Amino acid sequence: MVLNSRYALYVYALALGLLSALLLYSTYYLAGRGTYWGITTGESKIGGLLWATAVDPSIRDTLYYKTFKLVNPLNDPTQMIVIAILLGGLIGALALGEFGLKHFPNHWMLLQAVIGGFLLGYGARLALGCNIGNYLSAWASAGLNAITFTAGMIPGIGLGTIVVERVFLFRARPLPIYITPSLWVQRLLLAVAIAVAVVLYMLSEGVMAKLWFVFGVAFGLIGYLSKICWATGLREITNPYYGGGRMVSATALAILTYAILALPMVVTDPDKISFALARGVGQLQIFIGGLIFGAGMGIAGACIFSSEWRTGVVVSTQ
Amino acid sequence: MSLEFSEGVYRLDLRGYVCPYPQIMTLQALKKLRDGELLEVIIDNPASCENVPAAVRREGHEVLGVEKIGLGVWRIKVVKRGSK
Repeated sequence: MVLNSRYALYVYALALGLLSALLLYSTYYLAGRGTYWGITTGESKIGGLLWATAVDPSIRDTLYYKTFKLVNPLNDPTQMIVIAILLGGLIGALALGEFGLKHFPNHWMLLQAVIGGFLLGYGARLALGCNIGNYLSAWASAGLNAITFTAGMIPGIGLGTIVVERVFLFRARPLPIYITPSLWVQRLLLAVAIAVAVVLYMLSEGVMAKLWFVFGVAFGLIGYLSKICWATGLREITNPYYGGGRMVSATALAILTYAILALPMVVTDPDKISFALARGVGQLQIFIGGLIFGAGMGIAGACIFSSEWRTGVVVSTQ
Repeated sequence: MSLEFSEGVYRLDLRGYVCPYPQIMTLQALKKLRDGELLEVIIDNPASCENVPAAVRREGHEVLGVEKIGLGVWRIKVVKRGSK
């Protein structure tokens, strides 16, 4: 549903919080354990699978991948949600006729994207979570990691924005290539995208993989329709010049909605919940990860969640 | 990025740019305008439909509207408020 009023952003933020809580309750009732969602574990597994297949299979023997085992994505909820968010963004863009090949970078913009993306990924794995797992879900879980990750992320994005202003601002340029398929081609691609989603759903194994896939499509769709930008929300705190405060309040609304709706379950059956607490790493590591992740957001211009649904829209530098 | 003037309106084509460039460049372009002059910003980054107007309003300028002018392309109309 496309909303166009000035309050649409907040309605979508509410929807994001509501869906996140719904996933928690759904995992609880279907699998006996409620789960706060995240995305970078799945992304790291997809990356690991690609590396193991194309470069070096021995990556499976690293401590990290012994802990987060490389498994078939169709069996794995954490990987299915990543694929689904991408598809959700794509479906949203195609449905609105806004799909296209654009943002082709010159070499400076490409460098900016690569450096930003690397820092996003590195920081997220160091902290065992990104702006979803260690921010949205962590604040909703009332975890200490939410505070330490945010404490690192905020100065990090300030630093990243300074790098953009001083290094990339007058050098990074998009190439004047804009390929926007006609409306009927986009409708055709929409049918294909939906068919792919249905096939993946049917091929996925286990109720959790299917559940996370469905929610992932919904998250991707909301991400695209809302244009909610976590990076802008954080940038508004460090550099108010670049925003009006709407994104930071929208993201806060999403977090609050998630936290409040999750409260009944948290209070009644906390032992059956997997909170987003980045267990296994210390708070200093989470802080440093947040700092690196924030710098990556500042340089890349987007967080990991936004980068995913934007990739579905075929934003080429994402 | 270049600021063009035609038929009484300044135009800034920011297609291809993603955040935070549209906000930064729009605010920089507005510094070159006089009070009351109109700037049209062309973007194709969906998030900028939200971010550019918010940044512009925060600096005291007036946003006349955000309209879709093509598949995945929007035009944001801004009136400069305040002295050059």
